[in-house]
Amino acid sequence: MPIGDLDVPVIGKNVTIAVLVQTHILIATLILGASLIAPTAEYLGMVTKQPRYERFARNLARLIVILFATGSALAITFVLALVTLFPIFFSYLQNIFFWVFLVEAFLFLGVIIVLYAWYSVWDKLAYRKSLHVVFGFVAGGIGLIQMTMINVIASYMLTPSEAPVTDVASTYLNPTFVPLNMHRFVGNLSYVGFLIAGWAAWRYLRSTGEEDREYYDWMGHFGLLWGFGFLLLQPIIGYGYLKAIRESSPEAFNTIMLGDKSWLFILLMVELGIMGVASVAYFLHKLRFAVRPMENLRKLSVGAFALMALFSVLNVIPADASIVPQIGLVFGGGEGTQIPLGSMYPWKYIGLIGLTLVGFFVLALYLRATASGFVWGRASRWSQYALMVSAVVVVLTMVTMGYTRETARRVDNDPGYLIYGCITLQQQLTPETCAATGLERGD
Amino acid sequence: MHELALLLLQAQTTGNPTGVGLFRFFAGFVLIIAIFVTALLFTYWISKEE
Repeated sequence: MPIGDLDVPVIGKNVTIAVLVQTHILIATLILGASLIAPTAEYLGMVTKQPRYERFARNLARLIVILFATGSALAITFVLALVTLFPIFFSYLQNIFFWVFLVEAFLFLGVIIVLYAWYSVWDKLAYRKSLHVVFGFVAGGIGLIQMTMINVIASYMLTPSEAPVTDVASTYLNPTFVPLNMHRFVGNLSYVGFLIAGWAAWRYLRSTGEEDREYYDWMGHFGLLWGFGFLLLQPIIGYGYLKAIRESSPEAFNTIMLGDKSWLFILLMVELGIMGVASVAYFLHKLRFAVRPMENLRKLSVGAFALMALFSVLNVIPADASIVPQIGLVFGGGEGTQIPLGSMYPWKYIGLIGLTLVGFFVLALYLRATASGFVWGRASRWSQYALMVSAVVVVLTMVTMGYTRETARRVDNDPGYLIYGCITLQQQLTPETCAATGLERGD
Repeated sequence: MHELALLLLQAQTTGNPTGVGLFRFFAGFVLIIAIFVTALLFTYWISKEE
């Protein structure tokens, strides 16, 4: 039976898949990160006896339960679109990843059962809090394994293993599987942390009651600790991830780091810089409201803020005058015009290492102040704007990162790949360039 | 001055994407943000009375 080659009017089938997947990821990541942060907050509430943790955890759990339907609907629509628009590719995907898809389907069922049960028995288990917290962590854990299964496919598409496709272990543990998992696990928590902080800032600015102002002020601080704290791990993990891509799919690495799409790295650095500077500015502001005045800590944080801004600027200098060639943003001699301080080595390495170290330093200072407490409900409007800007930028960062990994497989579009070196965007097999073997035999 | 003006001029488009490709790139971005924000607003609207 012939298979139809369908297309989508106006936006095309590639963009259709991108839109469905990216929106699904933005929501699914929010659910996953929140389902790890919420039970943690519930546990902290149980240990510290502070009611705000309980209020926060329960509200977050409600958000997860409601948002889950939207995230699932997008996932199903995406799979339907993939089967319809890329049927040949999907059949190969199904052949290679049968076990992964099977496990994923059952995990979906598992997470629905545990997650909804966790929310619905909140009051019933009020006097068995430990059990309820465990419920929450089990839901988060299942979600985490679900993400791992999807990561097998996502990482394999960029870096297929040099092994027969029937070798389940090699396929599963392809070159970028581990770094992608680490990157996404940490990224989930950071992303949700920033979103929580941004939402709290919005609510803080709209709150009139003293109790709500105190609560949302604290919530912004709590969210930012997750957001900024886990963000600091990303340059280290990201280095490992990119190193794995360079070793197994060098042309894909060259495309996003050295080629016409290297502006994506600069864009990422701009986003990272904005989040870093906004977070440190918030910390700096918050130190004024420490219960015990900490002038030395504040002075040190001012220095850290200046260094953070300096390293961020160093990271965003392009290597040459060919900034974004796709839209004609090329100056002077283009690639021939080198820009001082713009090269990856040593400047961006210095910038990234500096940014990470300064970040850890200022976070340690802030946590020191947190230990003795803050006066809540007195934060300025500008500090809340910093949180809201971070929340918007973290969404843009997620979209940038998603586009970067997917576009890396296109290389020079001659041809672009769905599975790097193995299946082209036109769903043609290319066994001569494919690292994996056995795909063409269909066994 | 003339050299400076030349430097600031966009010299070339090495990526050479088609107009349709650029349109689809930005259309995709707008759609992603629109659907995501709509989902969040819907979630807020449906749960704000609780």
